[in-house]
Amino acid sequence: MSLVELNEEQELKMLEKMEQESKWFNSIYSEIKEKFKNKYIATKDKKILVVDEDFDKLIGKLEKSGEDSRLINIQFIPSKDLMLIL
Amino acid sequence: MIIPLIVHERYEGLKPFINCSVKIPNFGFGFIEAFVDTGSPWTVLGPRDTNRITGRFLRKACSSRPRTIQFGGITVNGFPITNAIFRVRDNNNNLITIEPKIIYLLQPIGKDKKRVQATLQLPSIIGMNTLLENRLKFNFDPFNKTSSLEKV
Repeated sequence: MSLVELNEEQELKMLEKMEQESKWFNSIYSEIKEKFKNKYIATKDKKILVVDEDFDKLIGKLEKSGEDSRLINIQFIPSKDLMLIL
Repeated sequence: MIIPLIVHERYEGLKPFINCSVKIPNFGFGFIEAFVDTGSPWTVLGPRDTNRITGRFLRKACSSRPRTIQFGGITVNGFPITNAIFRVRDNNNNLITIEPKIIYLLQPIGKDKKRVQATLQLPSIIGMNTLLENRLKFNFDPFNKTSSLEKV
């Protein structure tokens, strides 16, 4: 895996894209949280790409399909009883 | 300069998140979504972001002496990094560089599968050290679900 090289313009565009992706995921979160609880979800272009309960397997599936996991929005849906107090 | 945050409902509460790029010279580059947490003194890359960003350089990046960190009820190793660079987008579409003096790359302690899986669920956190060192004020409106960081 080589280090990603992006110029400032590309980095800005990528950040904007990731923000849109996060907002989109937020908008569908309540619909999908029961179905995908305790699972990792990789999304791209406002679509769910891969779902797996094992993070390493999810990364493996992404790489197999030619995606660079460093540039993908990956979310975890916690189970209902998990309350994170830091 | 204002950096808008996204307020998500996660882990049974409203939490402010920020999208940023992370560069750790010689070890990796990538994009993460981090939880802005004024209750955390430190900035950390959660285990899954650490794995994603450093990739095959994970072992090298995590070769310094770790600090034991209690995070969300789980004890993890935190490997210090002193040259990480975060970049975010402000409300005028400018690229803003944020350089914490130190961040910790989190990794599970031991190889117990259940423990490793639990650790992987932990998010990355932008903590108070980053806000103070970069003079960022934190705004949060839970009623309108809006939040931002503001340079002061």
